[in-house]
Amino acid sequence: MENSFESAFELHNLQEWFHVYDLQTKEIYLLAFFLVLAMLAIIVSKKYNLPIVVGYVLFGIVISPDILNLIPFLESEFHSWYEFLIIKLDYITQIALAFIVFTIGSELSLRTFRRLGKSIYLITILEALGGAVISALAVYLVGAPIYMALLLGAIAAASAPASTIMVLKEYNAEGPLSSTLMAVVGLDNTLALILFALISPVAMMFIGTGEALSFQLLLTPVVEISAAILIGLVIGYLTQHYISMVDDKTKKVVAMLTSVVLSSALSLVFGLSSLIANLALGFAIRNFAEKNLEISEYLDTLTIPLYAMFFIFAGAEIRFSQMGSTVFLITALVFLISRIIGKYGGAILAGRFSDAAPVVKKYIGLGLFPQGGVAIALAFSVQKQFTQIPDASLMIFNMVILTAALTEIFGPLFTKEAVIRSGEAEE
Amino acid sequence: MNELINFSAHEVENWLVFNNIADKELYLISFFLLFAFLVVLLAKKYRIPIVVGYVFLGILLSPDIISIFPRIDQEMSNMYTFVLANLDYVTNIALAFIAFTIGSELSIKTIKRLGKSIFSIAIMESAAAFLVVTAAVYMIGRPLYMALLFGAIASATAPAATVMVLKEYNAEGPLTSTIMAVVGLDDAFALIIFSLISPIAYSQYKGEGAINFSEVLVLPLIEIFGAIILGLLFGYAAQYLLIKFNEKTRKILTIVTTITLSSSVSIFFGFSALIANMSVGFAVRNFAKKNLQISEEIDTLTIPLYAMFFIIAGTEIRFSEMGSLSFLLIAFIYLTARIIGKVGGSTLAARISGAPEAVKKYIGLGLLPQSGVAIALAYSVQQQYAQDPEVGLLIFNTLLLTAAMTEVFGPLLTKYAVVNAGESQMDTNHH
Repeated sequence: MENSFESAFELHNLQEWFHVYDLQTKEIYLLAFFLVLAMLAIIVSKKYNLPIVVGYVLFGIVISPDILNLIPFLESEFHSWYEFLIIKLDYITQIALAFIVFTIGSELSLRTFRRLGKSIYLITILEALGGAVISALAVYLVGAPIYMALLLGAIAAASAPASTIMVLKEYNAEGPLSSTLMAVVGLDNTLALILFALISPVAMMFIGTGEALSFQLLLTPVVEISAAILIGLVIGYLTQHYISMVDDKTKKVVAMLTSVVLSSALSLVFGLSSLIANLALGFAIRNFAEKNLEISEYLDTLTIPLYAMFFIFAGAEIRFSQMGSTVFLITALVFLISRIIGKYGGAILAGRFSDAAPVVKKYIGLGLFPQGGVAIALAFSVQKQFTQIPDASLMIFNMVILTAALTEIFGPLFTKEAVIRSGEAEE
Repeated sequence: MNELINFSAHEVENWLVFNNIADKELYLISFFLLFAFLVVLLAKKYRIPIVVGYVFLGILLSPDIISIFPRIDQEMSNMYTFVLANLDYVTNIALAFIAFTIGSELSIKTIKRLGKSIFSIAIMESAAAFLVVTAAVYMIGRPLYMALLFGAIASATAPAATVMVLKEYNAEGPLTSTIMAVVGLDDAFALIIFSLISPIAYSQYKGEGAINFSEVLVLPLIEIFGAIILGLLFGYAAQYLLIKFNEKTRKILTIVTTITLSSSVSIFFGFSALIANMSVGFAVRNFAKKNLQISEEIDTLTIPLYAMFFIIAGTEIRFSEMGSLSFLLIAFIYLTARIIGKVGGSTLAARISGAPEAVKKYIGLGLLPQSGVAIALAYSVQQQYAQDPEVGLLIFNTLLLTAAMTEVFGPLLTKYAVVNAGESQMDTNHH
């Protein structure tokens, strides 16, 4: 792209430009607009008993450009400003992503896993890989390019802790199935993130922009992932050490925020995956700490508005105009079904080999269908990273948002079924 | 420059993407947060209010100081300034939360008890600051219109730093309530004074007479009463929802949405966003029939917001413009005269209105900080006097320098006041 305004003088003028068009005010309008949608989303999702994430995404879809274009009196100026502000506020979505992943990491408690036994690892690996491999294969077989199949496969490994927790809470479910389910959905998200970090350079290679397949190509992501993990672990270790020494709220909150944003920034500087770094950070803070750090309450409070904005924004990125084609619809349907088959099959298979309790073996597969925040976050990363194939990455994004919305709506019904049939629901 | 104004949003958008502004923004925030963390450590250790640390840090991170560092060239420092300026909307949101806090501290009971002295203090301190500063600047030989502009801007007080100190030290009592209410109301009175004086100054400058006072006065009154009505309506709705919702996500989103939305709507209609959110806070506090238990959450949410806000406030200082002796003289006069006016006016009013002893003694010490709002007023002056840039620039730079200074020593004095009045609930003697 030709860059016509590079010099210092012009940077200053750009600032003037922002001032003339009163962007500061426009930004506040946009934030208020998103927050109002978030309010509507929580009211609606409560009424229809949907996971809040679904509510956010649905209201995001309502303001996606293709839908807004249907409204006659909105001027095109509105659209160009909207797009502009979204780009300008892009760093907010990056911070939100960092927190989503951090939260996933901080829920991985080794102590809990040890208590639940080795079966959870086996179940996780088989169901996550089952979902990934089967859906990648199926999508490839119906004619999707190989890089798309790979990326969709990696994303397919994830499921949705939030909606699972919602169901378990709603039915006050307790027992081996419930606790195993909680651990497995946390773990498969982790696996999906790692898989994604490993797969994306390979996918990049198939697009033809990366280097040719070589030992080095496979080694680079491993080195990069290790470096990102190292950043996360080191910062996480220091943070938990500090937080466990203080009991002042301001100190705790600022330390926590700093560690998350700093891990993101550092991994960006070195060209590493900020997702992996924050996953490791959350994991380190949870597992190195010798006592409860009492930060989850604060973390919740801080991330509520952030997540609301992020998921509404993700919904708003969907493009219906690109969804009409039969290719898209077939691929999406195949992806949806093959992922469920892979996950369910993987879980059943794991049941055979593991020493898990019978209820777990029998029903755990039913609880793994919803696709939630991590899948959406990863789809979002695809759109950010794979800018050289805008159409394909938009297609992946659309597909994941669509299937996530669907699985989040009907998936919890199966989770409910599993919990009730296993007898762990308290009614 | 005018060519650039014609660039479309789309072109600038491409430029932002091309230059990875989002990444840079993230770097800046992480950099600020890291320093903010150090500030919190040091401030707690040496028992100075955190806000002082933030503003001081901001001053150290101001573009003029940053560009002194050897490895930072002109381009980098310009990029830094640019990325920093992109965060300006944070300021508005932080101010909205502060206004909300002020409003929610004011119960009808407090107003009944202290209302008379609160009103007289707010009127007198803003009027006295205006009069003393105008007189002082005029006496050192500046033209009358300039003296009037300085005086009008001097009447404004920044509530943020003061409120944050009161919160940090868990202050409670008549002095605290009075300071809270006065810094809030001050916005209304300063607005009226500025709206009245600014056209007078302009006609002085232009040398033409005839100002239509009814017109001049109607606008600020609409601004104020519109904001109050809007805020009360939104606040009423918010507390209704807060009582209905019992889950955390819903409660937090309700608060954040109400505050941001009242700001947006009042900016849109040209109302005072500060007064609107004060009214929201007041309505939420006083209409609700039970304790809504939201202060803990608001506290958590505002920790990072205020950190960014005060650091950004500090970075607004510009040392490079401040070399000349005549500038330093006027800044010094402005600063001293304003303090005399604020402290004198408020103390006098407290005595006349029979305020509690602690209020009489210490009220002036909570009214010194000046920041965002005053700088915004100075900025509007700069634009109005565009054909005579020195006038605007002088006022603007004076405000940049003195605002940062008052934000550093103002909170220290506020802390001194509440601790000595015995209203700090926090044990400040040992840790």
